[in-house]
Amino acid sequence: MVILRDVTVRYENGVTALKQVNLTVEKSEFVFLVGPTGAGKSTLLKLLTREIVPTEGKVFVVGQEVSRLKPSKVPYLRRLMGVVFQDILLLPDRTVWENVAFALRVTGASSAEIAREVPKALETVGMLHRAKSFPAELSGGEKQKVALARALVVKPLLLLADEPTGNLDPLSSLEIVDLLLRINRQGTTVIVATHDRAIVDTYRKRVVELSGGRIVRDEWRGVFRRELA
Amino acid sequence: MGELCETNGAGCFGVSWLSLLVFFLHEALINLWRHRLVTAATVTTVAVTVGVWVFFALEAKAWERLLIWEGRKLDQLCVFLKPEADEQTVKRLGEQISRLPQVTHVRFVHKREGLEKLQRLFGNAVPLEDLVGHNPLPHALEVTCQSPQAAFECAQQIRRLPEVDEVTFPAVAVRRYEQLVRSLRWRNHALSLLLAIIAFVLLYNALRVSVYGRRHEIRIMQLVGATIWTVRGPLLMEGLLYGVLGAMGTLGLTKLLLTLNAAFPPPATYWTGLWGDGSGWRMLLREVQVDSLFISKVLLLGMGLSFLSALFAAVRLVKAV
Repeated sequence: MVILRDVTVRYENGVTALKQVNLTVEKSEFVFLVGPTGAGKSTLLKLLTREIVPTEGKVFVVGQEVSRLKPSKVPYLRRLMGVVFQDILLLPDRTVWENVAFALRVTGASSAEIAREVPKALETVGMLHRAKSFPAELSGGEKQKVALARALVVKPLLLLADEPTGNLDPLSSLEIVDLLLRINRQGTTVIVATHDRAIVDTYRKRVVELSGGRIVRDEWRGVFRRELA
Repeated sequence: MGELCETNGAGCFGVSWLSLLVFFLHEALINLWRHRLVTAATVTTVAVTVGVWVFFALEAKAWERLLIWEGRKLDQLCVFLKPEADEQTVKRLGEQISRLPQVTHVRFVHKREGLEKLQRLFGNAVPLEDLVGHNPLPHALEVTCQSPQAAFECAQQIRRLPEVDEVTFPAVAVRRYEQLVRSLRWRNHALSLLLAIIAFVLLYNALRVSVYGRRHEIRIMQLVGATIWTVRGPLLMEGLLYGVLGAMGTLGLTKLLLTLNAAFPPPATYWTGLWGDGSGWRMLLREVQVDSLFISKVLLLGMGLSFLSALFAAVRLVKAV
């Protein structure tokens, strides 16, 4: 599903965010990406969404070498992915339903498809009963569930989550990770960049640790810090 | 894994162009409302620009009419032939001249008719025929051209013909007319361009505000797989709406002026005071008919101006990420 071969990313200001990174994530895998701030977690996710291209090396997503993809094809690659952020990015002047439908509308889905898919996505995250609410009326956990529904509504093959539990209380964080696991069990590959020790240690999934732009640990059934295991 | 989906499949849906269009319209309307003040300023600018363009067009038409009114004969030439040219030659020449593209009518004036005219002019006070013993005038042709400008060009062509002795026409008046129209056109073009630039800059800034206000939407759109033109679509639609609303403003203002003009009829002096007491402007308004053609032209002007600005802004401000 995702392959990184000798990937280096150097920004224009001279900072090297990733150095010679090699990583393979198979279909239906669940991966926690951990590491301190500035380790390169977000850069790695941006490589996968092709917001940036590697300075050196190759990145393959769903069989496509993303750095060689024509700009006109990039949107079609992104339609195979769902993306969830820490800062959530819900549109404040639209209801929950409209926020989720937005992801379909921009790809030109018909009203019938929207009417069919949006309730399914909201049902999956348990937010159908709040469909008419505005983001300001929701808690942090609920907002993140809506963001997750928006990522799911396009039926992604790959789900990328950048600090999805960053601003949430422990209970809401567990709910969100439970949802991600449930989505993963249905066959979607999930990559979660996180600082949240509790969830990594609780779920014991594959853990890839980045430090200084390099992969320093890649463990199956890993924990947040090796010394804590 | 093969090609990325562009139609149906995992993560992909069929594209409904109607839905996309409705989406653009919906997003554009939300944004116009979100930035109401900017919208009002931009629409007013478009309305004023289109209004001034319409006014210039009417003014040009008015000048044309004024000159036709004042100098109907500016498009006529009098072609005098060499004395040896007989009737046959003159008629053949008449046919040749009538084939020139700028010529609308040619009339043969026999030298006898010319003499009669001359005698009428002098009131038979001087018996010209007695003085020289014969009719000294040559045959002539009266040539009517399409316009005063065409008359000038036509005269030059006719002068080159070997049988032609002289071509007379109100050259000074035609030159003055041309200079006047040319300077008027220059002024109108310069002002139109200046207004277009002002409108363009204002529209661009309005759309920049819009892009800033919509930065979250734009980021989400890009990340969920909207194509670059789908991201730009709402901006283009916004531009079109500015144009439509601006043009409607122009039409509303025109209608208001027409109603006021009809309620208070102008004095009968046709065109006089065009630049002075304002009565000419009111006569000008009587020329305006708010029919479907006028409405279409105003709408097209407004939409064209704002769409081009929006296109420029969209391409410049929304880049593929």
